[in-house]
Amino acid sequence: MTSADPRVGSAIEHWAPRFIANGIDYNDFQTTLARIERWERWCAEWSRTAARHKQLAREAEGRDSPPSAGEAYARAALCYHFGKFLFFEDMDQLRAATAATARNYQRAAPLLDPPAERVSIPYAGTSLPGYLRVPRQAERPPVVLLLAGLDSVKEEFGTFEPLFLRRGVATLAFDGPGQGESEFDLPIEPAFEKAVAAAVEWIATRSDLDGSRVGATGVSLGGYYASRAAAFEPRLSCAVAIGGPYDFAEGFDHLPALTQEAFRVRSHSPDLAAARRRAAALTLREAARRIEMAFLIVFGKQDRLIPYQQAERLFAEMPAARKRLEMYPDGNHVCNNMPYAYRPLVADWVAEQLGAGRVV
Amino acid sequence: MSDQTVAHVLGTWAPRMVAQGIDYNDLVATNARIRAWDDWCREWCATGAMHEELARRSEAHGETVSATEAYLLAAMAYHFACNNFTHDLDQYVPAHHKKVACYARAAPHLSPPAERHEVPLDGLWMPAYLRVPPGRERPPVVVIISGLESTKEEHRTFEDGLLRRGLATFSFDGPGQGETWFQAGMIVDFERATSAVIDHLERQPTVDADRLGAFGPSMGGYLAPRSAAHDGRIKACAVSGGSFDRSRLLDRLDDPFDFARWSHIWKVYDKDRLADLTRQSTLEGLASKIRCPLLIVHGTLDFVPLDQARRLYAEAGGPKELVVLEGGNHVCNNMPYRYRPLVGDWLARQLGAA
Repeated sequence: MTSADPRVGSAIEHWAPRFIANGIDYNDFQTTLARIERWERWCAEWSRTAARHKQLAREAEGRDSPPSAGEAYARAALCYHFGKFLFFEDMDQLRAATAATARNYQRAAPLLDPPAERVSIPYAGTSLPGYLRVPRQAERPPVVLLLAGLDSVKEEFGTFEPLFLRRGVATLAFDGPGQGESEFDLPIEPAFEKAVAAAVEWIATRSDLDGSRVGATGVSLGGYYASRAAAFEPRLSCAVAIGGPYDFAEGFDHLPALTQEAFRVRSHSPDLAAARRRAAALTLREAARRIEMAFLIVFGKQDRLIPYQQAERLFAEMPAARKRLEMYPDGNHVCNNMPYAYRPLVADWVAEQLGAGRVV
Repeated sequence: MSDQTVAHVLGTWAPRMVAQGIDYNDLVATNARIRAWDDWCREWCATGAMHEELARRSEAHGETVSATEAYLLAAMAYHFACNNFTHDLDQYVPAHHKKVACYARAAPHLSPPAERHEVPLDGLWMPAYLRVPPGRERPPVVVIISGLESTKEEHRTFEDGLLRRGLATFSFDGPGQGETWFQAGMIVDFERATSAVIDHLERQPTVDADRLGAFGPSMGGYLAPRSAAHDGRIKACAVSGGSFDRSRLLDRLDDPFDFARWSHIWKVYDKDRLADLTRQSTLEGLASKIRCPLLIVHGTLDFVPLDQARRLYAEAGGPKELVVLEGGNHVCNNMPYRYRPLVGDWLARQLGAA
């Protein structure tokens, strides 16, 4: 699939495996992309596809089918999300699609299996919205925090969560600073351990969760967040960084323009020069040597956003006794071109570190 | 990739492959290695072997959940390796056996598990998988009837949708299909196989065979209504991409690709005999005997002409519904999110799954 507009081409090239791995229907990907000739239409066309799923969800509600409605609302949410994940041409469209992502997922949440409970994590005088999913038949299960990246949100974990749930681990995905519903009020936070601390404290208030067994799994820039948390939040038991950077400023100028723009907007920077300065704060130079908890790094050697040497550097510098680096020679950014390889690996590792009982 | 057969197979079935559980990246990566149709089976087997290796590694570490998921991916890769590759049994047969073996490794660990059954039919035994939704007391059950060259292992993602709606599933290899092919080819009166399956399900304490439905995709969408016409124990019948009259295909017997596929399932390699059997494969005079509720789903882009669905709808003798999906390809596998919830909800309602 090719496109005349290089920005569309770039999105296809970089993101097709991610879209599909995270739940976009294969056919929707093809038909929606076929309608997009210019990048300016990106958000509108994905929103059209989303609206169709929303319509299907309504029809399913009409015939009283919670499973059909839940799946259709979740698909609608995901289409809206990808409509605006890197779309900054028109902030009104971005805001509308962000709200639609949240709204549709909220409709889906109670209908999922197991359901996703919408929660609110007190944070810095405000709150971070999140979704908690608890595996069936598990007594006070451990919890894994799912940390999204630069252009991702809590609603994008719908296909990753079941892997943890099947292994007896509850999942808590939330919009941290700079993400999803939080991004308009809270800029990207280099010291993301603050948000993780808030989540850990919130978990401790829940009698149905085991607050002494909490891990974090971060994807892309979320891998950096997970590393920060591992360095500064000792109440965590383990952490995983998948495709995360060591130093975000180092490769900033080589990032695709859309990714740079995403950082500018979500760090609330007035221009790219300011964004570049803020990016400099996202570094593990001080943090890496403080990581002592069990840590897993997953990385693809074909990553075109973050050089794989950054993963090797993080691995080398952390003193953790139980550390593991899984470098996939053919893996792309986040290894989403081989979800079947890295996802079970991560879920098994987390379940083992957190001593999760297996759910049959 | 300029090979016409490869282009035809992918153009027709790539969405089905993904809908049934082939990983998108496997589709891209495997296709990139396939230069000519002759490479197809070998390269898909290589992808299957890659997943099988991942499964064994997980098994060795006691990681059952991961092993199960990997065995499913392996089984699907082997399944589509042999799909349409009946002209070369030296490659087809080993790939088939690997498919069966990998799925069998996954079966007990699926959620809910798939339990292997064997249904007797005139000295044959038809292997099958029964899955029962957890927490339900004797739920209704849906018999899934495979299409041409499909087998009981291909229905897992579809089954999951029925199970979530409180329906048990029973997928089997009838004559000419999967493991049963090795014992016997397709039969004109396939309803005998379906009735044997229903006899078997009536003896199962875990499901309620008084509330039994049938679903048939593709050629299964011809075999299922045919079975419903003969066996009143089928209380609801749904088809997608089905047909009324297989004799419409007579002129395609000269196409070596289609001839190879059809002669394979019938185990009849003489063109005149095959033509004769094809002529007998019709719902002419039978459709009016279907008394149970019938749901017919058909895509406007299906290579099975929409007229076939319309004729079945016109002639069926019971309550009936025809849903035409604009832009839907064969079986509507290019819009699984349209037809699958529709069929699942309809069957759940007809069979009274709470």
